[in-house]
Amino acid sequence: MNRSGTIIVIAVLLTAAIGRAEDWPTYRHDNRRSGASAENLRLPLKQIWQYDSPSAPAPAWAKPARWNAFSGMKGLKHMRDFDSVFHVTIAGGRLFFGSSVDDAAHCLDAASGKPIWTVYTDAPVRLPPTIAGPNAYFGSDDGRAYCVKASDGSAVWKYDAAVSERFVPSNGKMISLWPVRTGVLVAGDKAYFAASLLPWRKSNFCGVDAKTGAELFKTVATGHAMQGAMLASDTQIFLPQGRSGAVAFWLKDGKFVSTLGSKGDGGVHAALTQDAQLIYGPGSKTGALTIRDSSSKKRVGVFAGASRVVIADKIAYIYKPGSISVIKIAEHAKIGKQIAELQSKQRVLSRKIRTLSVKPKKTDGKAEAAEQVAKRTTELDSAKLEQKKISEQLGGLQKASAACFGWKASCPQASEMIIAGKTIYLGAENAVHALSASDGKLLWTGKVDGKAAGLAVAAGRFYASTDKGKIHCFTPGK
Amino acid sequence: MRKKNVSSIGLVLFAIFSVGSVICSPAVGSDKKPPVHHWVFDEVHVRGADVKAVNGPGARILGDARLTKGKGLGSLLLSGVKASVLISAQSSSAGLPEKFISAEAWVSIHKPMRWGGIVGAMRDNGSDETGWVLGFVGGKFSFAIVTEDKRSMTYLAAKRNFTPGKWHHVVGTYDGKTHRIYVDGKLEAEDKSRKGKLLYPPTDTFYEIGAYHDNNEYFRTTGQIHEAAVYNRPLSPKEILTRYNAKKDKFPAPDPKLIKKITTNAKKPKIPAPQGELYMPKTDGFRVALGPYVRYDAPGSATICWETNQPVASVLTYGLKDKPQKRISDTTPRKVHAIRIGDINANSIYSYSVMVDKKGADGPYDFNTTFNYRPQSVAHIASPWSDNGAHKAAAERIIRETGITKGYCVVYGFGEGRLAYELAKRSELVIVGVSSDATAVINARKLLAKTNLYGSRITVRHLESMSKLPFTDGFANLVVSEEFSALGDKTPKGAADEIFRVLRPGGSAKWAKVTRAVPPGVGVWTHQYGRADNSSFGGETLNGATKTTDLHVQWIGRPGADFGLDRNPRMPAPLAINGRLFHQGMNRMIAMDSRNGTPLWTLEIPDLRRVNMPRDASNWCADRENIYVALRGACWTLDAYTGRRKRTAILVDKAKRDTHEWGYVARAGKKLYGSSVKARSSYTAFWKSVSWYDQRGGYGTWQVCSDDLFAVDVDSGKPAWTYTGGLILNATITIGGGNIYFTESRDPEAIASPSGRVSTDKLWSRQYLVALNAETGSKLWERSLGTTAGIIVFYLQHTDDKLALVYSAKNKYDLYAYSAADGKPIWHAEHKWASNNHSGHIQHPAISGGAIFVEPSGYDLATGKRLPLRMGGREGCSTRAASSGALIYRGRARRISMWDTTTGEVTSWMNLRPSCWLSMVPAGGMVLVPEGGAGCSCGNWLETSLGFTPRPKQPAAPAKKEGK
Repeated sequence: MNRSGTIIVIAVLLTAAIGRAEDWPTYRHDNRRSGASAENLRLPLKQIWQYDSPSAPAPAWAKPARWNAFSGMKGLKHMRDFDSVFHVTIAGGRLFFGSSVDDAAHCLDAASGKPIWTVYTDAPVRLPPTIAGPNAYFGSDDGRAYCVKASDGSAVWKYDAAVSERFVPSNGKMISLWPVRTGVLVAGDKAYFAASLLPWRKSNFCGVDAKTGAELFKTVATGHAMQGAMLASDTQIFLPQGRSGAVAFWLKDGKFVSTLGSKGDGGVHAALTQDAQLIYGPGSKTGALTIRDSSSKKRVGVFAGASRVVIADKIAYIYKPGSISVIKIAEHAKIGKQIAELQSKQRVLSRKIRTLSVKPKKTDGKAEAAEQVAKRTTELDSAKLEQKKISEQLGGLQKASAACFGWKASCPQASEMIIAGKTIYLGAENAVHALSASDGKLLWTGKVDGKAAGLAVAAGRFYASTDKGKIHCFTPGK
Repeated sequence: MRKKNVSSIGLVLFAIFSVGSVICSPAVGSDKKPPVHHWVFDEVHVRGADVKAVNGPGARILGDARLTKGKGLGSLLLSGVKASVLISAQSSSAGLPEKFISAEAWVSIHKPMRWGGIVGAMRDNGSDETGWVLGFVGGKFSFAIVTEDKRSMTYLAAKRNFTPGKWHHVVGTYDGKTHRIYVDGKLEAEDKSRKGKLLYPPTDTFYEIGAYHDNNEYFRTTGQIHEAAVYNRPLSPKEILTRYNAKKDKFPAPDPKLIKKITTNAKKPKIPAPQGELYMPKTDGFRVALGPYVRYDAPGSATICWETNQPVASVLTYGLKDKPQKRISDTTPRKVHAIRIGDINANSIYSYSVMVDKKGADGPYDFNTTFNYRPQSVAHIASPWSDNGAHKAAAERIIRETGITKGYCVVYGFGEGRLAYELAKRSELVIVGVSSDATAVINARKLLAKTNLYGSRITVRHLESMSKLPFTDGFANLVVSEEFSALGDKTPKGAADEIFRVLRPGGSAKWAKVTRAVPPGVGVWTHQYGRADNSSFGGETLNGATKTTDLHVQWIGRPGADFGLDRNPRMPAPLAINGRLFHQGMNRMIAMDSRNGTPLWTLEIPDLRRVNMPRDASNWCADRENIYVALRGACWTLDAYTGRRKRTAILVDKAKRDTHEWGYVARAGKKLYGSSVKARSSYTAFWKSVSWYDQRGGYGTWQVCSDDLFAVDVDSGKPAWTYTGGLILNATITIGGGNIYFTESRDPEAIASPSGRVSTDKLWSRQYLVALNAETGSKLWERSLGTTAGIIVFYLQHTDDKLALVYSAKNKYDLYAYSAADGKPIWHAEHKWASNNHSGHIQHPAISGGAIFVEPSGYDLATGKRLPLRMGGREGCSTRAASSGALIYRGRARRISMWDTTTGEVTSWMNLRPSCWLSMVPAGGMVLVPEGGAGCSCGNWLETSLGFTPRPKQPAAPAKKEGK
């Protein structure tokens, strides 16, 4: 084999080993916030650069209450922790993040960590820029959405989504009461964002032409506090609300669809399955991920105690403190929907049976007529029979649901999880871990400074963002 | 295959236990249900420091405990110095009995102690009394428990003393109704005064053998232990006797040498010498006389302060919780101690202890650096400019002349940012620059960012026009201009009225050297219910605002949900005066700038907690310059701007200083008022629904009462007068019109109550309404009241020339108006309460505009005639605060709402909830809502702190053209 042939073979082998190099162009990789990339990195990894913020991120919200003392409930979970670290996006060899420290969007060279440009706004930038085509899109607590050229940060357009230009003090900053804390989601040729904070004031959900910033619609929504990264299916866009259930709008015209879930049924960690099941959490209590069917709005499953989900190739990886389990999520959700429907029928039947089981009181001294007794008995028997059938069906479905689960493995405690190719990455306290996606086996551990709550893999590198304002970049090697 | 392996392991274990039973007979007969936890201290079960349990969790031997040698059953020798056996430091996960319990042990105690532990999981810290402990008190065995119906610990002691050095079989039982202790198979004592489940600490405590151990006491037992067991059922007397008989002859007789040694030691003082690192003397010797508490100095830095009763070295141990501790010491003997630590992480929980003598310490306590809100210091960052002398001088002059070092500073005309930098370096100000020069803004940002100055302390924004600032009204503590102040340009630039608009009342504009005056109609909230008159009205007009829609958000932010205790236990109200807001959280307090929410300081004080305000007086009050906080037996005067402790007043009656605490606290005229309450009388429990204090009888409704009332000079602390008479109800003490009023019981049985939290119905007999001259303490008049038992809340208010006495009982409220001058009755009214739960039966009155409001009705204060409007419906817990035109409360959909007292219109803020008593106050021209509602996992509450100001009559920021 000649030299050029050798190089080709090596290149092919490397490609096979490393996998396809991908971008990570938006928060948690894509608009469904799957947290999954097809790119496979060769382990172990070594750190090649680190970004140090002058100070730690300044999150919009405090941590949750220590407990619900009245109910004796400890371990309440944070439902609005969308900005505890500088989450990153990566495209075209550049890394982008927004900062709540200096109110700016930053672009660094992804290979070296060297700054390329900084675009300042008038308030904190809490979610990373979305990269679409040649542009970077981001929102700010100043109530504006920004579009700049990803190459040099020069302004393309700016849209003021706030209702008033009055800025108020907030945690050592001046912010708009209509901050854009949803980031900017780009789908097709449109860019979406919301300006929202106070549920007693009207919020603006906006759609603009992604290239020009021309307004396509502005939906005024009441009773909402939209915040955290939005998600989009083929037809709808979902906006988490933190301490309330997410709110859905139509993608095409921004019209209101519905609110998903009940009060307190929220959280800003969410992912959408391919068939538009919204998985979100952790809820207002001690933590769970809920699956809600976006078309029927019904709850079709709950992963109690779970805090993170990643979806790759119709498989969901569910993280609970100390363990990961895998599940065929589409099948599980489909079965869950059937179970929910049957349980709904079952409740109706139970009420009917209770009613029919009660012998009517005598009226006017007359006992229930024999034919009425017979009719009631027949109906009761029929209802009981129906209920029995449903119970049997439910039993079968529950077995089928259980069969959707694959492997389960213990793992280190973590605050974030993504998957890249055949590897699961966990962000933890002062550490990051890589585990085999096929069995959960721990493959590699690296050191970071602080709690790693933001992870990404792109173009041959792994990034971890911590609550101390650090961004660590790792690449294959010892 | 796997199943087979498991079975094999089971068989092996069984074999070991069988062998064990042959050797030491841990199990006697065939138990109905074996103990859930069972340990035997012999060679079979003890391997090194590990104790293998017969049932339940294993344990670990700490310190120098060792197995005894010789004949008879095995035992562990406990030296009393370092030895004990730790089962778990996480009692909540140890599977402790919940409803019923028996605790059993075979022990030989060598040294009686004041507080001795054999086995238990407890806390006995002030009113944080939880768990249980089988032990001994002095020379008697005891079994102490806390149950949910009574939240104090009862030490049920045996009648007879045990014999030191002799083996005894000790059993404590509780069957949900009766609490018993048996010694050597015989019932020694029983108590039937409590019922219900055992009450455990809300957070973990130590589950331990051979020690009396909680988070501030660690008394190790001197003696031997052969066996300990815990059951989740009450053992019957027959079972206990059988178990005693089974082993009573298997122990050696007391060793005469040992007995002699013990007897010799017994001649020493009864209170044992300090025994371990965490020993805290209860009575004699060195002790912490004040504190400790934690003050945050800067990010990453805190000072731990405490005082001792005698000069002693300052020694502090601290570290991340559950991690190795560091030690700092200063050998200079002193009574006032302050140690600064400068290496603490952000968002971390630390534990610390302070030494009080060579061997003992007070602690451990916690502090949480999440609440270190001090802004990032830039003092260490070198100036980007080499020639900044003029700006440095200007900054120094500005700070010197205004005294303003915290809050927001607007630099109107930012220039290069030189003045901003010099100001930031010398203060804690957040600098917000504005400039119409776009290029200058870009350059300033770049330059400041290079030196890491831009962002956390200094920002600048470009404005098209300087004539309109995009900021809310009245938020800036300071407005300066780089050009004017530094370069000597005395020609005002820009819009003076706009500069004045953003300046907060009391703030300074160095631009024109003006200070913005406080407008009329601005009220205060200096005491629990507004002012010392308990009217729930502090004179606030809100500039005519009566609806939530008349107000807009002035600031939003810290503190958040993590700051507080919980919304349920009816904590003291926040205070507000002189542009500052003060708020209590979980054993911590914060001062904020009420116009912009800037945290001024935070203190973490382990002793700071008082709840159940409907049955007690608050633990704090304020005046323009100070905060006064009742902590244990003292009242601290804290500087309102810095949080520094200026003075400490102590109880006036010297005879009460060891037995009482500071109860009521109020400020009026030149006096500070206080009262003496028997120690541990205030409510502090907050866990579970019993600590919601929504009861209609029994625990929770017991009034906290004082044994005296006194006044001291506020500046010198010199006593002015002391009143003693009956038992004074703290919730009724009221100051107004130069007088102080209260009700007191003169019933001998009530007065003799062992606790200031008075449970006897006799409290309501021989009740008197008393008026004293507040300046001299001389009695002006008194009036007998015809109250009877069954009262749920009992309140007294003063306004103008009247006193209003309001109480609830038997499904209704009774309202009485008296002449403040002589106590003559003027009118009486009564109405049914709106509900018997969620505070419907314990509402505190609000008095405003010549009317008194008690849900659901208002009355003309002059005539007692019922007003035509029905008050806006309350939903959920809380009570009402009044402005001149509205009542603020938890109304529609359980949100914070306003009821217009003229129109009856109700408006509310969606998803905003208060605490379960009073956490939103109208004061300082604002409605201030420091976060108090968090903890409820039931809803979508916003869980943040907010300040609302009336919308300008003329909109300051007109609706703009929206869009691109």
